[in-house]
Amino acid sequence: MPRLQPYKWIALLSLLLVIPMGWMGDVPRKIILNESIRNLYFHVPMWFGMIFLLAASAWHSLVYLRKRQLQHDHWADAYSVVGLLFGLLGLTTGMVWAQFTWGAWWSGDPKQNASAIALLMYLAYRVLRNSFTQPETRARISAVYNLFAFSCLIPLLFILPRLTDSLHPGNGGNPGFNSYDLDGRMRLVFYPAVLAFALLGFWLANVYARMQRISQFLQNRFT
Amino acid sequence: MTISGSFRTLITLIRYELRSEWRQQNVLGGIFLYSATAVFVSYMTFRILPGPTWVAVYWLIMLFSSTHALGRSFGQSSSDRLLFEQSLSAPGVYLASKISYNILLLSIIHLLTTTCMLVWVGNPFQDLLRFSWVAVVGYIGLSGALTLIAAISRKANAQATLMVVLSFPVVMPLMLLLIRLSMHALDGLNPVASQTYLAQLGALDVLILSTAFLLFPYLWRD
Repeated sequence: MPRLQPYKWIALLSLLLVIPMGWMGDVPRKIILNESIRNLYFHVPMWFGMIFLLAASAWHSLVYLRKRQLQHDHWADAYSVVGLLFGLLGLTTGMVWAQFTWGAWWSGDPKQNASAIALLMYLAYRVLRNSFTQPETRARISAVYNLFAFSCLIPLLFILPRLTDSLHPGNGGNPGFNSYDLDGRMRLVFYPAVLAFALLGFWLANVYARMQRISQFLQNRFT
Repeated sequence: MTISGSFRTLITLIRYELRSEWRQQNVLGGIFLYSATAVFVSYMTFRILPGPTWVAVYWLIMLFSSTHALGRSFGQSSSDRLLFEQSLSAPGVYLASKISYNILLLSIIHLLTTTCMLVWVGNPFQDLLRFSWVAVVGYIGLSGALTLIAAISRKANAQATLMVVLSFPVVMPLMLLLIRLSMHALDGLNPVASQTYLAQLGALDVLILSTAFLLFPYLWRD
Protein backbone atom coordinates (compact mmCIF):
# COMPACT_ATOMS: atom_id res chain seq x y z
CA MET A 1 0.00 0.00 0.00
CA PRO A 2 1.63 3.31 -1.02
CA ARG A 3 1.64 6.02 1.62
CA LEU A 4 -0.22 8.96 0.16
CA GLN A 5 -1.58 12.15 1.65
CA PRO A 6 -5.36 11.95 2.14
CA TYR A 7 -6.16 14.39 -0.69
CA LYS A 8 -4.35 12.14 -3.13
CA TRP A 9 -6.45 9.19 -2.02
CA ILE A 10 -9.59 11.25 -2.51
CA ALA A 11 -8.39 12.25 -5.99
CA LEU A 12 -7.61 8.63 -6.94
CA LEU A 13 -10.85 7.18 -5.64
CA SER A 14 -13.06 9.84 -7.19
CA LEU A 15 -11.24 9.50 -10.52
CA LEU A 16 -11.94 5.77 -10.36
CA LEU A 17 -15.61 6.66 -10.04
CA VAL A 18 -15.64 9.52 -12.54
CA ILE A 19 -13.87 7.97 -15.52
CA PRO A 20 -16.00 4.83 -16.00
CA MET A 21 -19.22 6.58 -14.94
CA GLY A 22 -18.38 9.55 -17.15
CA TRP A 23 -18.08 7.38 -20.23
CA MET A 24 -20.70 4.74 -19.47
CA GLY A 25 -23.14 6.14 -16.91
CA ASP A 26 -26.71 6.99 -17.81
CA VAL A 27 -27.27 10.49 -19.23
CA PRO A 28 -30.45 12.25 -20.35
CA ARG A 29 -31.11 12.07 -24.10
CA LYS A 30 -31.18 15.57 -25.57
CA ILE A 31 -31.43 16.54 -29.19
CA ILE A 32 -28.24 18.02 -30.68
CA LEU A 33 -26.32 17.38 -27.45
CA ASN A 34 -26.75 13.60 -27.53
CA GLU A 35 -23.76 11.84 -26.00
CA SER A 36 -21.70 15.05 -26.08
CA ILE A 37 -23.45 15.99 -22.85
CA ARG A 38 -20.78 13.86 -21.18
CA ASN A 39 -18.38 16.69 -21.83
CA LEU A 40 -19.83 18.24 -18.68
CA TYR A 41 -17.78 15.73 -16.69
CA PHE A 42 -14.49 16.61 -18.35
CA HIS A 43 -14.71 20.14 -19.75
CA VAL A 44 -16.27 22.00 -16.83
CA PRO A 45 -13.98 20.52 -14.12
CA MET A 46 -11.00 21.72 -16.20
CA TRP A 47 -12.15 25.32 -15.78
CA PHE A 48 -12.89 24.91 -12.11
CA GLY A 49 -9.48 23.32 -11.68
CA MET A 50 -7.81 26.11 -13.62
CA ILE A 51 -9.39 28.80 -11.44
CA PHE A 52 -8.39 27.02 -8.24
CA LEU A 53 -4.83 26.46 -9.46
CA LEU A 54 -4.35 30.02 -10.69
CA ALA A 55 -5.76 31.34 -7.43
CA ALA A 56 -3.28 29.16 -5.54
CA SER A 57 -0.51 30.48 -7.78
CA ALA A 58 -1.53 34.09 -7.08
CA TRP A 59 -1.69 33.29 -3.37
CA HIS A 60 1.87 31.96 -3.35
CA SER A 61 3.06 35.03 -5.28
CA LEU A 62 1.50 37.19 -2.58
CA VAL A 63 3.16 35.17 0.16
CA TYR A 64 6.47 35.41 -1.70
CA LEU A 65 6.26 39.21 -1.81
CA ARG A 66 5.57 39.24 1.92
CA LYS A 67 8.12 36.68 3.07
CA ARG A 68 10.72 36.49 0.28
CA GLN A 69 11.19 32.73 0.55
CA LEU A 70 12.05 31.17 -2.79
CA GLN A 71 10.00 28.05 -2.17
CA HIS A 72 6.85 30.15 -2.58
CA ASP A 73 8.07 31.19 -6.01
CA HIS A 74 8.50 27.52 -6.94
CA TRP A 75 4.93 26.88 -5.82
CA ALA A 76 3.56 29.85 -7.76
CA ASP A 77 5.42 28.57 -10.81
CA ALA A 78 4.13 25.01 -10.44
CA TYR A 79 0.50 26.03 -9.90
CA SER A 80 0.57 28.35 -12.89
CA VAL A 81 2.04 25.64 -15.15
CA VAL A 82 -0.63 23.13 -14.21
CA GLY A 83 -3.31 25.84 -14.39
CA LEU A 84 -2.15 26.58 -17.92
CA LEU A 85 -2.33 22.88 -18.78
CA PHE A 86 -5.88 22.69 -17.43
CA GLY A 87 -6.81 25.80 -19.38
CA LEU A 88 -5.47 24.28 -22.62
CA LEU A 89 -7.36 21.04 -21.97
CA GLY A 90 -10.52 22.98 -21.14
CA LEU A 91 -10.21 24.96 -24.34
CA THR A 92 -9.57 21.83 -26.41
CA THR A 93 -12.48 19.85 -24.95
CA GLY A 94 -14.66 22.91 -25.41
CA MET A 95 -13.63 23.30 -29.05
CA VAL A 96 -14.28 19.66 -29.89
CA TRP A 97 -17.68 19.92 -28.23
CA ALA A 98 -18.43 23.17 -30.05
CA GLN A 99 -17.60 21.61 -33.43
CA PHE A 100 -20.25 18.94 -32.91
CA THR A 101 -22.96 21.10 -31.34
CA TRP A 102 -22.44 24.63 -32.70
CA GLY A 103 -20.86 23.52 -35.97
CA ALA A 104 -17.53 25.33 -35.69
CA TRP A 105 -14.31 24.88 -33.76
CA TRP A 106 -14.17 28.57 -33.02
CA SER A 107 -17.25 30.71 -33.23
CA GLY A 108 -16.09 33.85 -31.46
CA ASP A 109 -18.12 32.98 -28.40
CA PRO A 110 -17.35 35.39 -25.53
CA LYS A 111 -16.32 32.54 -23.27
CA GLN A 112 -13.97 31.12 -25.88
CA ASN A 113 -12.42 34.53 -26.43
CA ALA A 114 -12.10 35.21 -22.72
CA SER A 115 -10.40 31.90 -22.08
CA ALA A 116 -8.03 32.44 -24.99
CA ILE A 117 -7.03 35.79 -23.50
CA ALA A 118 -6.55 34.14 -20.11
CA LEU A 119 -4.21 31.59 -21.68
CA LEU A 120 -2.26 34.37 -23.41
CA MET A 121 -1.80 36.07 -20.03
CA TYR A 122 -0.29 33.01 -18.44
CA LEU A 123 1.84 32.20 -21.49
CA ALA A 124 3.17 35.75 -21.17
CA TYR A 125 3.91 34.96 -17.53
CA ARG A 126 6.04 32.00 -18.71
CA VAL A 127 7.90 34.29 -21.14
CA LEU A 128 8.49 36.83 -18.38
CA ARG A 129 9.81 34.17 -15.99
CA ASN A 130 12.26 32.93 -18.57
CA SER A 131 13.71 36.35 -19.26
CA PHE A 132 15.47 36.53 -15.88
CA THR A 133 18.61 34.76 -14.81
CA GLN A 134 18.74 35.73 -11.16
CA PRO A 135 16.25 33.68 -9.10
CA GLU A 136 15.37 36.45 -6.61
CA THR A 137 14.67 39.07 -9.26
CA ARG A 138 12.68 36.54 -11.27
CA ALA A 139 10.63 35.61 -8.22
CA ARG A 140 9.86 39.21 -7.25
CA ILE A 141 9.06 40.66 -10.68
CA SER A 142 7.06 37.69 -11.89
CA ALA A 143 5.11 37.63 -8.62
CA VAL A 144 4.05 41.20 -9.34
CA TYR A 145 2.93 40.28 -12.84
CA ASN A 146 1.17 37.15 -11.62
CA LEU A 147 -0.90 39.12 -9.13
CA PHE A 148 -1.70 41.81 -11.69
CA ALA A 149 -2.71 39.23 -14.30
CA PHE A 150 -4.88 37.39 -11.81
CA SER A 151 -6.71 40.56 -10.83
CA CYS A 152 -7.39 41.26 -14.52
CA LEU A 153 -8.54 37.67 -15.00
CA ILE A 154 -11.45 38.02 -12.59
CA PRO A 155 -13.43 40.59 -14.62
CA LEU A 156 -12.44 38.76 -17.79
CA LEU A 157 -13.79 35.36 -16.79
CA PHE A 158 -16.70 36.23 -14.56
CA ILE A 159 -18.10 39.59 -15.58
CA LEU A 160 -17.53 40.27 -19.27
CA PRO A 161 -18.89 36.97 -20.67
CA ARG A 162 -22.11 37.58 -18.79
CA LEU A 163 -22.66 40.88 -20.61
CA THR A 164 -22.99 39.45 -24.07
CA ASP A 165 -25.27 36.86 -25.52
CA SER A 166 -23.61 33.57 -26.03
CA LEU A 167 -24.42 30.13 -27.26
CA HIS A 168 -22.60 28.73 -24.27
CA PRO A 169 -24.81 26.74 -21.90
CA GLY A 170 -25.89 28.96 -19.04
CA ASN A 171 -25.87 32.17 -21.11
CA GLY A 172 -28.37 34.38 -22.90
CA GLY A 173 -31.54 32.33 -22.59
CA ASN A 174 -29.72 29.15 -23.46
CA PRO A 175 -30.49 26.36 -21.05
CA GLY A 176 -27.56 25.85 -18.74
CA PHE A 177 -26.25 22.48 -17.80
CA ASN A 178 -27.79 23.18 -14.45
CA SER A 179 -31.17 22.15 -15.80
CA TYR A 180 -29.68 18.82 -16.89
CA ASP A 181 -27.66 18.04 -13.87
CA LEU A 182 -30.70 18.63 -11.74
CA ASP A 183 -30.95 15.17 -13.09
CA GLY A 184 -29.54 13.41 -10.01
CA ARG A 185 -27.58 10.87 -12.04
CA MET A 186 -25.38 13.49 -13.66
CA ARG A 187 -24.90 15.38 -10.46
CA LEU A 188 -23.61 12.23 -8.84
CA VAL A 189 -20.76 12.13 -11.34
CA PHE A 190 -20.27 15.87 -11.94
CA TYR A 191 -19.49 16.94 -8.37
CA PRO A 192 -16.94 14.16 -7.79
CA ALA A 193 -15.44 15.05 -11.18
CA VAL A 194 -14.86 18.66 -10.15
CA LEU A 195 -13.28 17.49 -6.90
CA ALA A 196 -11.21 14.77 -8.56
CA PHE A 197 -9.71 16.89 -11.32
CA ALA A 198 -9.01 19.83 -9.03
CA LEU A 199 -7.20 17.59 -6.55
CA LEU A 200 -5.37 15.89 -9.42
CA GLY A 201 -4.20 19.35 -10.50
CA PHE A 202 -2.82 20.09 -7.05
CA TRP A 203 -1.11 16.71 -7.07
CA LEU A 204 0.49 17.43 -10.46
CA ALA A 205 1.65 20.83 -9.22
CA ASN A 206 3.13 19.16 -6.17
CA VAL A 207 5.14 16.76 -8.35
CA TYR A 208 6.23 19.59 -10.65
CA ALA A 209 7.41 21.78 -7.77
CA ARG A 210 9.41 18.90 -6.31
CA MET A 211 10.96 18.19 -9.71
CA GLN A 212 11.98 21.83 -10.00
CA ARG A 213 13.53 21.76 -6.56
CA ILE A 214 15.54 18.64 -7.37
CA SER A 215 16.77 20.01 -10.67
CA GLN A 216 17.82 23.24 -8.98
CA PHE A 217 19.64 21.28 -6.30
CA LEU A 218 21.46 19.23 -8.95
CA GLN A 219 22.35 22.36 -10.89
CA ASN A 220 23.81 24.03 -7.82
CA ARG A 221 25.73 20.93 -6.99
CA PHE A 222 27.30 20.03 -10.31
CA THR A 223 27.91 23.40 -11.92
CA MET B 1 4.94 63.02 4.30
CA THR B 2 1.76 65.05 4.66
CA ILE B 3 -0.97 64.95 2.04
CA SER B 4 -0.29 68.47 0.80
CA GLY B 5 3.42 67.66 0.79
CA SER B 6 2.92 64.58 -1.39
CA PHE B 7 0.62 66.57 -3.63
CA ARG B 8 3.32 69.18 -4.09
CA THR B 9 5.87 66.45 -4.87
CA LEU B 10 3.42 64.97 -7.36
CA ILE B 11 3.08 68.29 -9.19
CA THR B 12 6.84 68.76 -9.16
CA LEU B 13 7.41 65.30 -10.61
CA ILE B 14 4.83 65.81 -13.36
CA ARG B 15 6.38 69.16 -14.29
CA TYR B 16 9.81 67.56 -14.26
CA GLU B 17 8.51 64.84 -16.56
CA LEU B 18 6.96 67.39 -18.91
CA ARG B 19 10.14 69.42 -19.04
CA SER B 20 12.42 66.48 -19.75
CA GLU B 21 9.99 65.28 -22.43
CA TRP B 22 10.02 68.74 -23.95
CA ARG B 23 13.80 68.62 -24.16
CA GLN B 24 13.63 65.46 -26.24
CA GLN B 25 11.11 66.58 -28.78
CA ASN B 26 12.29 64.06 -31.33
CA VAL B 27 11.06 61.20 -29.12
CA LEU B 28 7.66 62.82 -28.62
CA GLY B 29 7.48 63.66 -32.31
CA GLY B 30 8.30 60.06 -33.15
CA ILE B 31 5.35 58.84 -31.12
CA PHE B 32 2.93 61.25 -32.78
CA LEU B 33 4.30 60.40 -36.20
CA TYR B 34 3.78 56.72 -35.43
CA SER B 35 0.01 57.22 -35.02
CA ALA B 36 -0.29 59.64 -37.91
CA THR B 37 1.55 57.27 -40.24
CA ALA B 38 -0.59 54.34 -39.13
CA VAL B 39 -3.74 56.35 -39.87
CA PHE B 40 -2.38 57.32 -43.26
CA VAL B 41 -1.57 53.70 -44.09
CA SER B 42 -5.13 52.69 -43.23
CA TYR B 43 -6.40 55.57 -45.37
CA MET B 44 -4.32 54.33 -48.32
CA THR B 45 -5.68 50.80 -47.87
CA PHE B 46 -9.33 51.58 -47.10
CA ARG B 47 -9.98 55.14 -48.34
CA ILE B 48 -13.32 55.65 -46.57
CA LEU B 49 -13.89 53.45 -43.53
CA PRO B 50 -17.35 52.19 -42.60
CA GLY B 51 -18.27 52.76 -38.92
CA PRO B 52 -17.36 49.47 -37.19
CA THR B 53 -14.10 49.23 -39.15
CA TRP B 54 -13.31 52.83 -38.17
CA VAL B 55 -13.62 51.87 -34.52
CA ALA B 56 -11.57 48.69 -34.97
CA VAL B 57 -8.77 50.48 -36.82
CA TYR B 58 -8.76 53.32 -34.30
CA TRP B 59 -8.40 50.99 -31.30
CA LEU B 60 -5.75 48.90 -33.03
CA ILE B 61 -3.69 52.00 -33.75
CA MET B 62 -4.19 53.27 -30.19
CA LEU B 63 -3.27 49.89 -28.70
CA PHE B 64 -0.01 49.79 -30.60
CA SER B 65 0.95 53.42 -30.20
CA SER B 66 0.11 53.45 -26.49
CA THR B 67 2.23 50.37 -25.74
CA HIS B 68 4.96 51.98 -27.82
CA ALA B 69 4.65 55.36 -26.07
CA LEU B 70 4.22 54.11 -22.52
CA GLY B 71 6.81 51.37 -22.90
CA ARG B 72 9.44 54.03 -22.33
CA SER B 73 7.89 55.33 -19.12
CA PHE B 74 10.86 54.09 -17.15
CA GLY B 75 13.15 53.26 -20.00
CA GLN B 76 14.28 56.68 -21.12
CA SER B 77 16.15 57.60 -17.99
CA SER B 78 19.45 55.98 -17.14
CA SER B 79 19.47 53.89 -13.99
CA ASP B 80 21.37 56.62 -12.14
CA ARG B 81 18.73 59.18 -12.97
CA LEU B 82 15.98 56.74 -12.10
CA LEU B 83 17.53 56.21 -8.69
CA PHE B 84 17.71 59.99 -8.22
CA GLU B 85 14.07 60.47 -9.22
CA GLN B 86 13.01 57.66 -6.94
CA SER B 87 14.91 59.03 -3.98
CA LEU B 88 12.82 62.20 -4.17
CA SER B 89 9.49 60.65 -3.29
CA ALA B 90 7.48 57.72 -1.99
CA PRO B 91 6.67 54.95 -4.50
CA GLY B 92 2.97 55.82 -4.56
CA VAL B 93 3.60 59.46 -5.42
CA TYR B 94 6.17 58.51 -8.04
CA LEU B 95 3.76 56.06 -9.71
CA ALA B 96 0.96 58.63 -9.52
CA SER B 97 3.12 61.16 -11.35
CA LYS B 98 3.99 58.64 -14.07
CA ILE B 99 0.36 57.57 -14.48
CA SER B 100 -0.97 61.14 -14.61
CA TYR B 101 1.63 62.13 -17.14
CA ASN B 102 0.77 59.07 -19.21
CA ILE B 103 -2.95 59.84 -19.11
CA LEU B 104 -2.11 63.27 -20.47
CA LEU B 105 0.13 61.78 -23.15
CA LEU B 106 -2.50 59.22 -24.19
CA SER B 107 -5.16 61.91 -24.39
CA ILE B 108 -2.96 63.96 -26.69
CA ILE B 109 -2.26 60.93 -28.90
CA HIS B 110 -6.01 60.26 -28.85
CA LEU B 111 -6.83 63.79 -30.03
CA LEU B 112 -4.20 63.60 -32.73
CA THR B 113 -5.23 60.15 -34.00
CA THR B 114 -8.92 61.07 -33.97
CA THR B 115 -8.27 64.28 -35.87
CA CYS B 116 -6.16 62.49 -38.49
CA MET B 117 -8.82 59.81 -38.88
CA LEU B 118 -11.61 62.38 -39.22
CA VAL B 119 -9.66 64.16 -41.91
CA TRP B 120 -8.58 61.11 -43.90
CA VAL B 121 -11.05 58.30 -43.40
CA GLY B 122 -14.20 60.23 -42.57
CA ASN B 123 -16.52 60.69 -39.61
CA PRO B 124 -19.04 57.87 -39.14
CA PHE B 125 -20.02 58.97 -35.60
CA GLN B 126 -23.48 60.07 -34.53
CA ASP B 127 -22.06 61.26 -31.24
CA LEU B 128 -18.39 62.13 -31.63
CA LEU B 129 -18.15 63.98 -28.33
CA ARG B 130 -19.24 60.94 -26.33
CA PHE B 131 -16.68 58.77 -28.12
CA SER B 132 -13.97 61.27 -27.18
CA TRP B 133 -14.62 61.42 -23.48
CA VAL B 134 -15.38 57.71 -23.11
CA ALA B 135 -11.96 57.01 -24.62
CA VAL B 136 -10.34 59.33 -22.07
CA VAL B 137 -12.08 57.47 -19.22
CA GLY B 138 -10.58 54.29 -20.66
CA TYR B 139 -7.12 55.85 -20.82
CA ILE B 140 -7.08 56.17 -17.04
CA GLY B 141 -7.10 52.38 -16.73
CA LEU B 142 -4.96 51.84 -19.81
CA SER B 143 -2.33 54.19 -18.46
CA GLY B 144 -2.35 52.43 -15.08
CA ALA B 145 -1.91 48.98 -16.61
CA LEU B 146 0.71 49.97 -19.16
CA THR B 147 2.75 51.99 -16.65
CA LEU B 148 2.95 49.01 -14.31
CA ILE B 149 3.86 46.66 -17.17
CA ALA B 150 6.48 49.14 -18.36
CA ALA B 151 8.05 49.03 -14.90
CA ILE B 152 7.98 45.22 -15.01
CA SER B 153 9.51 44.94 -18.45
CA ARG B 154 12.21 47.45 -17.57
CA LYS B 155 13.31 45.11 -14.80
CA ALA B 156 13.56 42.35 -17.40
CA ASN B 157 15.89 44.54 -19.46
CA ALA B 158 12.95 45.77 -21.49
CA GLN B 159 12.74 44.28 -24.90
CA ALA B 160 9.90 45.83 -26.89
CA THR B 161 8.42 42.36 -27.47
CA LEU B 162 8.05 41.69 -23.78
CA MET B 163 6.10 44.91 -23.27
CA VAL B 164 3.63 43.92 -25.98
CA VAL B 165 3.33 40.29 -24.90
CA LEU B 166 2.74 41.21 -21.27
CA SER B 167 0.35 44.07 -21.82
CA PHE B 168 -1.99 43.02 -24.64
CA PRO B 169 -3.82 40.24 -22.79
CA VAL B 170 -4.01 42.32 -19.61
CA VAL B 171 -5.62 45.35 -21.26
CA MET B 172 -8.01 43.22 -23.32
CA PRO B 173 -11.00 43.50 -20.92
CA LEU B 174 -10.60 47.27 -21.02
CA MET B 175 -10.42 47.21 -24.81
CA LEU B 176 -13.57 45.09 -25.11
CA LEU B 177 -15.54 47.57 -23.02
CA LEU B 178 -14.11 50.55 -24.88
CA ILE B 179 -14.95 49.05 -28.27
CA ARG B 180 -18.47 48.33 -27.07
CA LEU B 181 -18.91 51.91 -25.84
CA SER B 182 -17.43 53.32 -29.05
CA MET B 183 -19.99 51.34 -31.01
CA HIS B 184 -22.73 52.94 -28.91
CA ALA B 185 -21.36 56.40 -29.72
CA LEU B 186 -21.14 55.36 -33.36
CA ASP B 187 -24.84 54.54 -33.50
CA GLY B 188 -25.73 57.50 -31.28
CA LEU B 189 -27.58 55.24 -28.84
CA ASN B 190 -29.40 56.79 -25.91
CA PRO B 191 -26.75 57.34 -23.17
CA VAL B 192 -28.90 55.29 -20.80
CA ALA B 193 -28.00 52.22 -22.85
CA SER B 194 -24.30 52.74 -22.17
CA GLN B 195 -24.66 53.34 -18.45
CA THR B 196 -23.94 49.77 -17.36
CA TYR B 197 -20.86 49.53 -19.55
CA LEU B 198 -19.64 52.91 -18.39
CA ALA B 199 -20.02 51.84 -14.77
CA GLN B 200 -18.04 48.70 -15.55
CA LEU B 201 -15.36 50.73 -17.28
CA GLY B 202 -15.08 52.91 -14.17
CA ALA B 203 -14.90 49.84 -11.93
CA LEU B 204 -12.19 48.33 -14.12
CA ASP B 205 -10.22 51.61 -13.92
CA VAL B 206 -10.45 51.52 -10.14
CA LEU B 207 -9.44 47.85 -10.04
CA ILE B 208 -6.41 48.37 -12.28
CA LEU B 209 -5.25 51.53 -10.50
CA SER B 210 -5.58 50.06 -7.03
CA THR B 211 -3.73 46.87 -8.03
CA ALA B 212 -1.01 48.97 -9.64
CA PHE B 213 -0.58 51.11 -6.52
CA LEU B 214 -0.50 48.03 -4.28
CA LEU B 215 2.07 46.23 -6.43
CA PHE B 216 4.36 49.05 -7.52
CA PRO B 217 6.31 49.29 -4.23
CA TYR B 218 7.66 45.79 -4.96
CA LEU B 219 9.17 46.99 -8.22
CA TRP B 220 10.78 49.85 -6.38
CA ARG B 221 14.57 50.08 -6.56
CA ASP B 222 16.45 46.84 -5.98
